[in-house]
Amino acid sequence: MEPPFSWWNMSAATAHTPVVRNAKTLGGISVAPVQSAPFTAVRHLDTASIRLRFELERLKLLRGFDELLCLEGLHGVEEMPHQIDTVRKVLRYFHGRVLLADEVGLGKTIEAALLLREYLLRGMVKRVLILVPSPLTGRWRDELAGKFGLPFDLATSGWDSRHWEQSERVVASIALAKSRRHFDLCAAAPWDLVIVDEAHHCKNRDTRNWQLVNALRRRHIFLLTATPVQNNLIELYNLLTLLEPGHLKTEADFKKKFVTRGNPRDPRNRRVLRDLLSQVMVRNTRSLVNIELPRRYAQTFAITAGEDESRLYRHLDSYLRWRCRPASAATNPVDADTAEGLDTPDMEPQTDVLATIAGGVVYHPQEGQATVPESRLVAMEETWSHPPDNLPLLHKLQLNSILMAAGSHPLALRPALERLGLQDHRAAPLLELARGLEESAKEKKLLELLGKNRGQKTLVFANFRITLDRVAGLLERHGIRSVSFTGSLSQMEKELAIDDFKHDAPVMLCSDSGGEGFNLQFCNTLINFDLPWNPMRIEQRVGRVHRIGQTREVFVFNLCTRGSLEDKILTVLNDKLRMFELVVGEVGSILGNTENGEDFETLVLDLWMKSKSADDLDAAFANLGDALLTAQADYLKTKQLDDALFGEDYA
Amino acid sequence: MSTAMTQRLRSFAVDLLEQQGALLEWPEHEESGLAVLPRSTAALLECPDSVPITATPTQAGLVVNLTSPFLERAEKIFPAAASELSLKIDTLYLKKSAMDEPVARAFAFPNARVKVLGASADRVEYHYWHFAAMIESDERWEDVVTVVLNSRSRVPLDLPDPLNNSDACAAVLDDIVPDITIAGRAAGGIITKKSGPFVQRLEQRMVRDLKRLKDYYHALLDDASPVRNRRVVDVNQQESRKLAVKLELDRKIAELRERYMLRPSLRLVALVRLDMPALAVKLNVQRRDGEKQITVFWNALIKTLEPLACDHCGAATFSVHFATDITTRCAACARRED
Repeated sequence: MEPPFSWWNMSAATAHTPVVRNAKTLGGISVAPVQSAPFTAVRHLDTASIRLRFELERLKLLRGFDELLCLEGLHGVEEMPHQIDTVRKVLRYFHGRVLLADEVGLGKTIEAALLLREYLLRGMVKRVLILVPSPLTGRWRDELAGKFGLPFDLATSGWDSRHWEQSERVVASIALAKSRRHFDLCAAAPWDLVIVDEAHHCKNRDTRNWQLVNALRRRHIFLLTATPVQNNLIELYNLLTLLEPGHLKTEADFKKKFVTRGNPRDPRNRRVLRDLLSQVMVRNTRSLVNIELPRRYAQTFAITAGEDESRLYRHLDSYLRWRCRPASAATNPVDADTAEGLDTPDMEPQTDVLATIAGGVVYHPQEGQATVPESRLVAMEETWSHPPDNLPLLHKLQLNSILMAAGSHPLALRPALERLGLQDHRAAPLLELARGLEESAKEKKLLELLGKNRGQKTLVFANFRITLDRVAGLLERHGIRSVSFTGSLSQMEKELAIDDFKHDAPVMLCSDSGGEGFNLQFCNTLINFDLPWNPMRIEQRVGRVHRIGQTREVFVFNLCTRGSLEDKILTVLNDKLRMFELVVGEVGSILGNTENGEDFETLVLDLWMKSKSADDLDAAFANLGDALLTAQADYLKTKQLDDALFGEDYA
Repeated sequence: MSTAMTQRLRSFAVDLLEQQGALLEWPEHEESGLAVLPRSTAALLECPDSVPITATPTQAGLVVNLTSPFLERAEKIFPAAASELSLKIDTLYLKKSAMDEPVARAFAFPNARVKVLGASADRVEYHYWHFAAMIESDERWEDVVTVVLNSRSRVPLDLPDPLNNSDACAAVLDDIVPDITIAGRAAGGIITKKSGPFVQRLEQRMVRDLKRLKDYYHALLDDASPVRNRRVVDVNQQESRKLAVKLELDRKIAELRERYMLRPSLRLVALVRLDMPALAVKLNVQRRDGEKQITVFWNALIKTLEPLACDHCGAATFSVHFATDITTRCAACARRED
């Protein structure tokens, strides 16, 4: 009988061209035509070469699952043992279809990225689609490229069928992919692997999220969520049906067998259910992987800015608000502002600064002499009366960047103000005011904290390079040695900097882009000289020292200017959410429970833009705090449900 | 990567590059070293002529690691198609006693009368075909398969590797066209056998998944039927729902079959030709009115008679049946033809 794999059927006439034959089926499985390289002219080799040739083939075979390929060549990834175990388990037993449901903070994303890398390196998948909530698209793309060496395209609303078909590695927001324009295009393209992050967004089969994932043509699929069950067990059923339709039979069967009548949150036949789940789901818990971190404590210092610094921030605030108004709405900004309540003690009309240009006098303050003479502010009201009609509205990104710089240090504001000044001469006085300010009130507090922490290692974070340079100079002037650590350093320079910090320098000045993947657990004190608006980034900062291997309690000090946006953000995150006491990753889960909350940065900016007065802004932040509390309560409820269902020892 | 694996890769890289004329300074227990490569080799490996060589993937230079493209690039150093090596063993002991009894002991000829006519020293070329085989499906199976054929009798054999035989030396052999047809067929047989557990595992999983899928969607269809569905629903709505479920089932089944489809590929890596002495034993075969002379070989490496090849399927057999035209058949083929 012919063997099912009969590759060669050659006649003498076609001696050097294999004719491929297709054995139809084998054991009920269809067999594709054999792909074979043509047997063209051979080349003579010597014995040693032939030996090497065979060894080459054997070495290629060694890429078995016992040797994970994905672990080599990573940048700044500290994979943990449970993550490696998960990768092996999924490769060996799950055959590329799995629900990764690790507890928050245990690194589902790293597990998924390692698996993805393993599949790609082995050539087992080629076309990959990653669906994530909108705010996470950039982060996924950046981390896959930077840490895992896997470049991905980011799908945009302008994509057409050609993009969806031709792009082999795509990160797309699920909102974009499910949109009317892209749903069919995305579903029509064949994917070898689909990864769905925050897969609980697909818990309801009546939603387009679920329908999109169900419609995708794919061979492998990873669903990622820490909370597979949020409200009732049917959500879990829906998720697993995406993974393996029929694994839990029909919904009616599932309800009958596994859901307590009258209580959709209470599972029956838990052991059977867990057995079934264990075939398609991996869930690592803290107790299971034995990760217990020491406590961390946070303290926020809201510093009262000096008079000139306060003036700068107030004037900047008003100017930016003015620049955010469409010309049509600003025929008489002063009146409008007054009518809308801008003229409050906290936000008085900014006549003084802008008048400096209106007065036509160029003012060059000396170092440390920041005061703009009163006489030069007289013409301000007249300036305000002109609408910014020939100026473009400031883009959200510009606003975000300027406001964040203001929260960092007056020096960090200068470049942005210089750019504004080029565009609008009326902004020049702000620059003058900023140029006159060399110090920030936060500096004194920083020195005080470092003085109290003498003999201990301290990590100081700042968003802006200028701020870091300024702090470095400040510390030098006060005889405190520091080492800088930013993303622009080479690998070797980074290692030297860490070594210096570990053995000598008491302070390391770090930017957000530096420090990832390095062991800094020898340090247990962190000072946020400024703050990112995104809580996840704050969490990343803290995570540099509060991580596996840290044996001591961790202390986090946050510096912000009283009344600033950062002050308000910290009040919400710290006072309401108790963010610094939460487990790593929980903030993300809580924010994910709020409407658009995952994009906290944009949310903050929107609040600022929509508010018309300081009171208004305070009220908006109070509402945000309440929304976060509700989201936190929802998260805790969900967590309890998941704990009850899966237990602490689910493996 | 394990130390043993790193060492093995390192050793391969050093041997290969030195053979190409490279100068290497890479002490055995050092992570990195330096290589000065011939320009052509450097071009194939896509690196500068003078380059740091390392086993650590994060370092710059020529990275010798399973995750780096080193192995794929090293492959370019070898000929694009198959490699060939010709070897020769000049002398080997050949059996001198009469072959009647050994033939009678080794072979069974159920439907013919066979008589040994005589034996004589001869030289036979053996072909060692080395294939890289892969079956991709929901999982992947890979192996290197070697088929050894007697170029005269075309019977597949299990012979020791001539690369390990110190008597085998390089030679220039007569230009013959190797028969890859039979080699491919024999490779198919070996691969079918070796991949059996793999295919069986996939089959079991596919049957399970298929059943699960059908049960699920059939239950959905039942739910949509008017008898089961107590909600008052428009008949057209019910029909369209049933159609949608059926279409989705078809799509999911197609996806499942695609997922489990076996996608085999085969690549000839090398052909090693070995010319060596053998004893050719001439047999006279008489079946009904027909008569034919055939040759069997006494193999000097394994010191035994080689089986005959079934003229229908190519399999090696010692239980030799003959068709009416006195072509050989293995027992299985003979049963089928009867």
